[in-house]
Amino acid sequence: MNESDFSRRQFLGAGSSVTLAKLLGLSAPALTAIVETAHASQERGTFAALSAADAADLAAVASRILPSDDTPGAEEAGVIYFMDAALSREMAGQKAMIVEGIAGLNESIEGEGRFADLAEDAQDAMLAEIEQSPFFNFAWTMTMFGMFSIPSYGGNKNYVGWKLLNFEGLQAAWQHPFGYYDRAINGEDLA
Amino acid sequence: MSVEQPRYKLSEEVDFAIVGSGSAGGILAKELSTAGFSVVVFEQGPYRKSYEFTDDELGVLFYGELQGGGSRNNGQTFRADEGDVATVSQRQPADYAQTVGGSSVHFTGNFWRFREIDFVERSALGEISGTNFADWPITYDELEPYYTKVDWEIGISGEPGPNDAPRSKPFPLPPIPCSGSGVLMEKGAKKLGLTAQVEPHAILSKPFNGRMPCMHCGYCMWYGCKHGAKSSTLVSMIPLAEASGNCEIRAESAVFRVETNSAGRATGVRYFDPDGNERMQKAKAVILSANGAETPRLLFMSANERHPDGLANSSGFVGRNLMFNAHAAVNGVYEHPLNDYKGVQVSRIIHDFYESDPKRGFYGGGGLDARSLFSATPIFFAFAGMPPEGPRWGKAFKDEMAHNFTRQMSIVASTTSLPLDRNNITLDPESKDRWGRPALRMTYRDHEDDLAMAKFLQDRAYELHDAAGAEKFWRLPIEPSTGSAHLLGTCRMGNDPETSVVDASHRSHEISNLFICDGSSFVTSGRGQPTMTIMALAFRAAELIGKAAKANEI
Repeated sequence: MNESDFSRRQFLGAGSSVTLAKLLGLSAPALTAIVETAHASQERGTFAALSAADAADLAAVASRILPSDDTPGAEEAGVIYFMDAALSREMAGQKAMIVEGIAGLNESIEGEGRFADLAEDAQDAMLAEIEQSPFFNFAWTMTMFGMFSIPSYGGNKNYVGWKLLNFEGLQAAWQHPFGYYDRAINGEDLA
Repeated sequence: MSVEQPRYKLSEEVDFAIVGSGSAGGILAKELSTAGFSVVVFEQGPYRKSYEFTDDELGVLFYGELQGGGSRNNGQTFRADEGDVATVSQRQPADYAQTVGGSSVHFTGNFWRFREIDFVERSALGEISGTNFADWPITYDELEPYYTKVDWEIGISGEPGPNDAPRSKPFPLPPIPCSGSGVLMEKGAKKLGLTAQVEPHAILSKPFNGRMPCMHCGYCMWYGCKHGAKSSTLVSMIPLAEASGNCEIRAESAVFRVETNSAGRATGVRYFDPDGNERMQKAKAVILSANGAETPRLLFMSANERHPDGLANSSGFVGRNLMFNAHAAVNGVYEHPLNDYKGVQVSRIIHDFYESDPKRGFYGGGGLDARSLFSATPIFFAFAGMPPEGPRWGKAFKDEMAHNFTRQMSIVASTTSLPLDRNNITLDPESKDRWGRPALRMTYRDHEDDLAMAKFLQDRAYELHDAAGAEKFWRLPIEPSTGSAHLLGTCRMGNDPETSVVDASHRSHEISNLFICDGSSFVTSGRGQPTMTIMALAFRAAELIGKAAKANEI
């Protein structure tokens, strides 16, 4: 069994015992370097770690995880730019697995075309088949990171991820009451 | 009153070398340096100031920004049982900060005193077979003046609960205002006949000693406080130590050995300086305050011909009796937004189940608190805050996240942990940290009573959500512990050198000028929030060590 077979087996292995925790071998990066990578990619429209075709497929996966509808999703947040920057740096160790995963998706397509070209229903059906795989787990993780981390990492563009949740992070100060239930005891009359 | 730190020469025998700048080390440094002793504090992490702390969730929670870069750099390993091969996991088992101020920088600030019973529980309840359950060599009454000293020196906000242990002075600062999660806990408690009381915080509700009060930004748990309102030793003690003119903080300096001589005395510490060069600082006495995991690790790394099983380990108790405080949680979603990501984590707690009750059929006690927990920040929420049976991706997942985030809170249970031989810290035979030191290996499997207590309290938390009117609430699975931020019991204090590592004044039984004071000194685990007791022990130890030094009895 060569390395590629192994990756393919992992990719196809629904219910794999490989946990997310084991896949995340992350180290502390220098934020400034990430910012440079992430922003250079966005400005040039090119990618540091991924080919344009792989990036389009991976972006399509992210868009099915957090779709765009009446509110922005992974696409508007620029999650793919987060992913590409991370795969070129602190998640470089996972790049091969991700690229193999994308290849696996495309090989599974009957007929012509790539994953990014499929209709959303077809994409969803394919992802449902592999939702226990390490590839999907890691794509899911990177989608959450890219949607909700501070924008310096390349995603969460214009804070669309935080706005989705009504989360106003990075504020230095707040004053009570914070919400509905602490109004009465913090000086606001509920009536 | 800015005073240049002294720069002690390596060859100069300083009065005290203190390993660790956290909850205990920061206090010992301040107390001993202001008493006129020369002190060098060794901290393996960098010297960050408050303005350098970030609200970067990815950096702090996932990349280990305050923890020396996390698992990849520290190489810590975990196994449940001694027969297993320990492996490196992504989330470090011993969860502590590497930065000046130690874990007092990134802890949540929940700040419970122990009660009288915590020190004499073995006498009250009798033996628990198969465990090292024991009384402390000191009582609550002996420690109370030092609890009060912590209150007034570092700055604590709160008000007493109905069954708290007696205090000799009131809280110096009023409580931090109640958040939505606290209001809902009060509502549930009232319906169930329980008492929700104010959570004491090591966070300032008002300006104190020239420091800013809490701005309610919400970044407490795992983050450094950018306002300096959290009463870490970084902001409350270290500046006073530096102002004494007697204390040098040596950051990015990783101690790997305590040296001893043929007379069986400690002579100083050997460490890697920021450039990776090996150095040796001479000292008249050495104090280890490196935390309940790092302190025993250092004693093992210091083994030599005279001390083949590690320093101060003739009892064999170094590294043993590791205790965490087990946890359980129930998440709940409410009709209206709480926005509990704002403000401190916890504003109300329930201590009605503090005492062990034989009627439950197992040993244990604990506390409940209402907090934002998973809904404090969005990535953590995505990972752990969503209902277990719901969709994990797609439109329904996205919509549910958007609906729940501001409406959610958790009720968290914290419990006792029993001291066991099988739960311990040792050196990993293979894994190394980034300095090449043998990595810390943790072996831990909860006592069944600890998990039973967690389950008991989780059931109460479930009832509380119901009584408070949650629209949807669910238990998080109670899984065996695989690590903790509470690192307790591994060099326990006691009067008998056969069954303890340090005496009641924190002097090691074996080496008269080697002192140990941190979470490792604990004999029992308490009910869930150990930092207040670590700090009280440190003030007490500093007084006793200072007296001994002045009397030439070290």
